[in-house]
Formats: sequence, C-alpha cells, structure tokens
Amino acid sequence: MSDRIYIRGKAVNCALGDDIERVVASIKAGQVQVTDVPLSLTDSNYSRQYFLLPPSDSDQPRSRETYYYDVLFNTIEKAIADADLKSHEIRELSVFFGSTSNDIPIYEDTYKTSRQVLSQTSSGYGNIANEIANRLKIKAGCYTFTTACTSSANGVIFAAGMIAQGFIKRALVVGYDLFSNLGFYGFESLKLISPSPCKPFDKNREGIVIGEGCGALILDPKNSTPKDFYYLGGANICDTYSVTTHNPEGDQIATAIREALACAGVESRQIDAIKAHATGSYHNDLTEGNGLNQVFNNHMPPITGLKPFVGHTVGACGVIELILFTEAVKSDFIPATLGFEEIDDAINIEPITRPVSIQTGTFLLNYFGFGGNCVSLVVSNKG
Amino acid sequence: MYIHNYSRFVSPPVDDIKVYKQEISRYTDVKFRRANKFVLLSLVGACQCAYGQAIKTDTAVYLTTENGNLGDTETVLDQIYHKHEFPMPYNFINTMSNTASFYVAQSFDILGRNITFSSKQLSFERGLELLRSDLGAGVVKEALFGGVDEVSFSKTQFETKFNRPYSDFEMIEGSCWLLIKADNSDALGEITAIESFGSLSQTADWLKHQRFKRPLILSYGMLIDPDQKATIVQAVPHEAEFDYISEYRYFDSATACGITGFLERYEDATLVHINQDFRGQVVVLIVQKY
Repeated sequence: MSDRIYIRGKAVNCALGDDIERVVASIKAGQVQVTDVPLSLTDSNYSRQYFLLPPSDSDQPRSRETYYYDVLFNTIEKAIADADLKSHEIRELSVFFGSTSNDIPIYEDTYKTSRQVLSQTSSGYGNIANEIANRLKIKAGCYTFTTACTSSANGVIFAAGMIAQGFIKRALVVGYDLFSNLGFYGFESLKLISPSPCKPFDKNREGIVIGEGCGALILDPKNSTPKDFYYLGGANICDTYSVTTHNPEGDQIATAIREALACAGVESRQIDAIKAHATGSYHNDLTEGNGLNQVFNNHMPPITGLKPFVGHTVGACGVIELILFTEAVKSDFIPATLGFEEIDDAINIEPITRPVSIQTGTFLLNYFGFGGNCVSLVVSNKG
Repeated sequence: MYIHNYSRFVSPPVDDIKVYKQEISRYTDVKFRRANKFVLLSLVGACQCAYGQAIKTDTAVYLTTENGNLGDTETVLDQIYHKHEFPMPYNFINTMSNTASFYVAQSFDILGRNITFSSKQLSFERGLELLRSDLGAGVVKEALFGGVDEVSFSKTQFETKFNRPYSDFEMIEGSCWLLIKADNSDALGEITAIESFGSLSQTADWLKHQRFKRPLILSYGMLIDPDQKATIVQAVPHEAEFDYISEYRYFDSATACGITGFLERYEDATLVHINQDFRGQVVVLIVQKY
C-alpha cells in the first residue's frame, strides 16, 4: 500500500472515562476502575468484575436507548471534532461499524417483562450504522461487521482498503459494545470470566474480564498533525480448528501476523512493539503466544495487553485498543501489562510490566475471536 | 469480478432443521451437530454453490445478512430473563452470526478472509463493494459470497418497517451464493459494475448514459416504489423486467435471490438491478450472464 491512511481523529469512552488525555494518564499510572456485578438474574450468589463506563454527570434519568445513543454520538462527535472535519467532509464519510452486541443492549431490559422483543422490534444488524448516518446526514455507504471480538478491527481493515482503492474518500470507524446481560451471562456460561483480575499471559491467569466502551476513528488520506499514526496494513484469516478456540500451535495466528506484515511491507524485525489480544483466557493466551513465537522467535519486541485497564470490550476492542495504544505512544510510552507476575513456560511470553519509553515506531496489534477470526493490524508514526 | 458458480436456495419457513441437515448431507459428510437454523441455512446454499467446484484453501467467505442469528439470540435471552438460567454454551456462541461463516469455511477447509457483514437493506450490494476492494488489492483471489436470512418478521414489524401490507408478501427463507473469482477463465458471468448514488434521479441520469450489452433485464429491490420504477424504465431501454420478489417471494437478503435467479434463467443477457435503503442511497448492480 503506497499511500498513507491516517488516523486523523479519534475519541474513546471506556471504563477510565472519555477524556483521552486522562485515560492515557491513568494507564501510565496503572490505575483501573472496575465494578463487581452480581449475577442476580440466575439467582447466583456471586459476582464477576466488569469494566463499566463511569457514571455520567447528567442528573436526568435516561432510558437505556437514550443512554446507548448518547454514548455513541458523544464519542463520534468528539472524533469528528478531533479530526476538524468540515461539514462536506462529514457528509462524505462512509460508516464502518463493528460490534458484538449491536442493538441488544437497547432492547434486552424489556425482556424482564416481555418475550421475543428483538424479533418484534430490532430492524437488523445494520441499524446502528444507519442511525449514525442519519444523525450526521452522511451521503455515503454504511458497513456493519459482526465477527465477534474482531468486529471493529475488521472495520479498520476494510475501511482502509476501500480508501486505498479509491472507492471511498474517508471513513468513520466505530467500535461499540455496551454492557449486555447476554454477553455477561453467556461468557460466564462458558466459564471464561475470571474470578480475579485479568492477568494476560500469566501462569495463573483465570480468564477474561469484560468491559463496555465506544471508540471512534476518522481514517483519512489527510492527517491533522504530523504526529498522527497511519495504517500500514492488515490481515483477516479464518482458523477452522474450532468455533471457540484457535489451533493450540498458533499456526493460523502466525499466518495472520505474517500476512499483515507482508501487507504493510515490513519485516518482523521492524516491529517495535506488539499490542497483543491478550484476553487472559487460558486458550487465547496459549494460542496467541505460540503464534507470536512462530513469527518473532528470538527477536520478540516488547509485548503488552490493554484489557487489564479497560476490560475485554469484545467487538469494540479493535478500535478502542488501537486508540489507547497509539495515544499512549504519542504520550511517549508503551503501557505495562497489569497483573502479569509469573511466566507460563507453556507459552514463554513475558509481557512488559513497566511502561517502556518510546516516541515513534511501527507496531503490530492482534485481535482474535469466536468463529476462528484472526485479525492483525500494522500501524506506524515513523516519519 | 467473475462469477464461476451460483446457488439459489429458498424455502418456505421450516420448523424442523432436519430438513436443512438432510439437504446438506447431499453435499458433505461433515456433521454439524451444534449448528442452529441460520448456520444450516447458510451451509445449504454454500454447499450447493461449491458443489463440483475446486475450492482453494485461500478462498474467502463473505456472508451478508440483515438479521443473522436472531433465533438463538431470542433463546438465550429467554434462558436468562425468564428461565433464570445460564444460557447453553452453544446457544450463546451461535448468537454471534459469524459462526455461520466459520462453519462454511470449516466445511470446505478454507482459511482465507472470513467476514459476516450487514448494511441495512443493501447488505448484499455493500458486501460486494468490499469484495471488489479486496479483489482489486489482490488480498482475495476467489470468494464464496452469500446472502442469507431466515424468516424473522412479525406482521407488525414488517408493516412498520416497509409501510406495505404484510398480506401482499409471502415470506421465505433463503441462502443464495456466488463463487466469484478474479480469474475469468471458464466464468459463466461477471459483475461488471457496482455503482452507488445519493438519489434515484442521479441513478437514472447515470443509467441514461450507459451502453449495455443486450438483451437487458431490469430488476428492483424491495424499497423501489412504482414511481421510481417508472423513472428507471424511462431511463433505460430494456427487453424485460424480472420481478423476482413476486416470483420467489421475499426474505431480507432478496437481492441475492434476484441475482442468482437471473443467472439461472437467462443466457447471454445483462441484468441491471436497482436497490435502495431507507436513507435513499441507491446501489446499482450490473451483472452479465455469458
């Protein structure tokens, strides 16, 4: 890919708040804000941690639907302001939306008193992107990805691809997943939620901690500032080993990473750091670690995981973690991996446990999900 | 974008998914014990499309859908909110609609790009835009590309959404697929254009200035109203109209049925398919059958 595609604007709302500078400062300081949520709907007598969005300052009680759209549109409007888009540039945006839960958080409370609500009221996966386009009076296309935890990472790949091919001018890429009981109880049914804080790659890791959040990016051939990151390449491939886990040897994960590097036109030795998917689940960390070892072998760059700060924001994590990672680098550091204490010999991956100083570089970001989806992105802010 | 094979599977609503399992068993020995209706429906069409074709390991899968796995989502929410139980693990996993594109890939042991995608009323068309971009970039060389939806509408929801009488439309479920390659050798047709417009009048202006190989067939998506059809008819001299919704009935990925129905029915002809979404965005597909 010869022409650069910049992250011209960005905004995020996560468990650490919606002020990006404060969020990055909290990450640097190793601060987290996590909530114990009881599993009361199943009359269970225990709780699990969840990275919920901080309570807002609004005194007005809001319906779930109003809250859903407030979070979404506030984040998007901040990203547009950050990119300093003119009104005609906003109208030309194509919308790329990635989510696991889509509009389920809007409707699911209604299930307390009703049944078949979604079938009666939801108007399809494309509805939220359509609402975004209506709100912004956008005159271009909408593209919604439902590939589980890689959803918004796929949004980034396809948006960048469409810009590079000249089919669209610029893109708004949104990753959004609000708290949903479907996800909370569903992941607990799979015994994937950790009873303790998330500890990616640690020998004693016990699982994931889910989070909610919204991230929005403006991808554009033009940049806002010389420090803006740009997309170099990416890959999406399918691991058909199992619908829930990847090949333990990490073969397809390694293939995704190699294809992303090839697409970006960089060698593995040129990667300065890796943002791993690093969910803290036994299988994900094992397969990802084995895949990384296949590619980087004896030249492993610093590895970090961001889920201990904001939780696993499922389909939204593609955009949210891309923003958090690149903004941390723009603040001159790679975040530490909270919670990691003891190396797991079965994986042999030792993520960084203190922030590492860095100003510029070329970086690999990994995302994996149910349905065998393997996504790797390469971004840079070098020269 | 060269079309090498197609399948057009449509069915009245099916209560017992064994019907789909039996159909799939005609094409593959793989057993899909944990698959739900949406997954099986996806597999029926994909298997029919891939049958007899040499599907390469790096083939991509693009599954477009309006509603995806609504059935299991309802089941899981019912388990949580009404039975006060944890969901069954495979019910929960199947709420993620990309399990269907996963099983399609697994059944053919293909490891290429894999997405499940949606775009309100234009899922099939916008998905083709993504595939065109990937083919242009060379990251995909061939793809199984499907449009799949179950029957999901209540009368109220249908009439609210489309502002049309429910009784005028018989609902079906469908899974219609194309095998698309960058290579044109032995192709049976091609998608020669995917054009997007902000209004129907812009669309008509563009169509007026195109030269199509004849005979030319016109077809329309669900939201093109009679006045708009009249505008298009005036703009484009044509030999016939192909009303696939009347003929095959309606499901939310009906465009997929229209395109594959054209390929099935016509030889040496061009299809101009016009569809729009609720925002008035129009997408025109031009398909040639050799």
